[in-house]
Amino acid sequence: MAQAPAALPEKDQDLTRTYALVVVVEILTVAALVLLGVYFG
Amino acid sequence: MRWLDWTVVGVYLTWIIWSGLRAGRRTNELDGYFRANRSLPWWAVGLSVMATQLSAITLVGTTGKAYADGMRFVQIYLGLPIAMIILSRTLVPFFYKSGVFTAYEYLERRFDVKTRSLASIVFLAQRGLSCGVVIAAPSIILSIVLGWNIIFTILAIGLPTIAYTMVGGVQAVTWTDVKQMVVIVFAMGSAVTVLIMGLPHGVSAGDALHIAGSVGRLQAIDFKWDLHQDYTFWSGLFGGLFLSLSYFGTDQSQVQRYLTASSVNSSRHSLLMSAFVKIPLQAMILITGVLTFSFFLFNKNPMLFNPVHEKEVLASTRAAEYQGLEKEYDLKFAERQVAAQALAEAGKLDASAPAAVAARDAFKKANGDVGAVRTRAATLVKDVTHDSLYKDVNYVFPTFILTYMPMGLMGLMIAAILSAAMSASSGELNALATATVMDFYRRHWNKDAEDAKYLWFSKVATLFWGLFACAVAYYAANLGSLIDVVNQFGSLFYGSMLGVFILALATKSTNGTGAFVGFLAGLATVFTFAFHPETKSISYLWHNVIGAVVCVMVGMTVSLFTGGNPTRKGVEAGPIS
Repeated sequence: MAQAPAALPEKDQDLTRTYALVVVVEILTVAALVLLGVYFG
Repeated sequence: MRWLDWTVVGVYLTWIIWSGLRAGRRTNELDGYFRANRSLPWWAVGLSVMATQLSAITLVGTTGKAYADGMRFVQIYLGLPIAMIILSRTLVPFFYKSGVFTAYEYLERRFDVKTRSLASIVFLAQRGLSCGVVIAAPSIILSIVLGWNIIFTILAIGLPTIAYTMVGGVQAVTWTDVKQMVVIVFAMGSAVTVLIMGLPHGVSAGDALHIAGSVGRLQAIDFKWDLHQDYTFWSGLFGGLFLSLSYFGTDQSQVQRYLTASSVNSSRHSLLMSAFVKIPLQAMILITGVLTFSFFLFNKNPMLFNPVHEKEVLASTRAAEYQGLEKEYDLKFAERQVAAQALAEAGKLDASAPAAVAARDAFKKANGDVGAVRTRAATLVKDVTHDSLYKDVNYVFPTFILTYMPMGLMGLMIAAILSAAMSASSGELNALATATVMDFYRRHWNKDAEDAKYLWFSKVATLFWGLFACAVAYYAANLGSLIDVVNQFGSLFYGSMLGVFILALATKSTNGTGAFVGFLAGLATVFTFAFHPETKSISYLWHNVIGAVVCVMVGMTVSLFTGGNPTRKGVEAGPIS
């Protein structure tokens, strides 16, 4: 009987783009919060 | 509360208990009970991470803060996204691949058993007490505003949480967290709708924000460098970074959440979900508080939102003075209402037009007058009752819910407050049981027992910590306003805890003695800073930075003088033998 192949070790996903996106979203969020205070202040 | 509200709360509690018990019905071994056999999807873990952090204190206290102080509180979260990136690259894959049940388990492998035990004891003490506070805060508020017995409210939150956490373990915790987050988001959406619909004819949501903005309620970011202010851009970015690194990276109540994910990449995604969502979510909760401020410009609210001492003051010799303040408050409230209406109408003009400037100045003065009466009333309450920490910000949002939310939605909001308290405390109970069993019972007293025995003991530990938290909640309720002091308790420990993990992961020369002494030195320094008369005014957010830096420096120095780390055990990950 053929043996089931052993599970391959999980490959680490490259999340560099996601990390960059987190930083961009944070900068945009802070900018939006500053603008909120300026526009409604 | 009317019949439909009671029905909604009853249906919520039944649904949560039933689904919690059902989610964990197949949990019959230790790995399933504490790590869900590493099978949960990233989005469920991500929601659970956020639900554990979002307690009823956050929900009710944050809206109250925004009502009184504006949106500055959001800055505390500025370090969180950066912390999530750092953790995603460092500790998350490390813990996951090491196969640990608790974060502290790794410290024994890297250093020694005494460092692991100290870290775990600090976690148990700090998290055990804070779990009590998490239950106490909404219990006190609900008991005061609804007139319920405090023991009833504590048990209404505590007992269902203990039941499903004890029976279902981490699977029950995670899946109920998901449902509770949905309840919270839906309820907050309904509150915002009621707030906007409650504005008078001719005043739009934009006008309401303009009015609130004219008295600084929308100034979210403050770039001033001031160590004594809790909420600035810099304290949020640096202090908040260390706080988030420590909370999400070394606090078992969070580490356990992402250890349940189906893969290391899922664990990372679950944390990165918070990195994207947390600041906007918190900003929305704060804007709800700002809208509550605008709502109460046009809809009458009591002079003081916290009615706990009102009877005592009215029975005292200064009752006439208090009643005089109430009459003055009514007058000033009416003047401010007129000024707010005029400002809303002037908002349609050019902002620099003389009429618009005059309307803004008139509203600022009227709002200042109302604030001054409220301050005098609060001072009178403090003088009469000797409750020097009396304040009423935490009662603003519950007052709105109970006075202005329509039937059914009021029940939904109460269910949301219960959800926030239950989701935060269930994750904590589960983590407290894990640390008790894995770091002490299995490590020190019963190393080779069968899984069934550990599972049974885990359920007993969950029950013990649940009852302990309820007892702490009852005691904290009697402390009254001291609850806010206890709330900042975590920052006394977080920095030093983070320091130990930095020593473990980022240095190879540190030995167990160095880490242990560094940990104690960090704790001692932070306690000194927090309570010394000359330094206690420094914002608690900086305690996280101080604790981490002192722990790392002392740890490395002591290691240097105690022979360093001859085996140079470093950062390699792998199953713990």
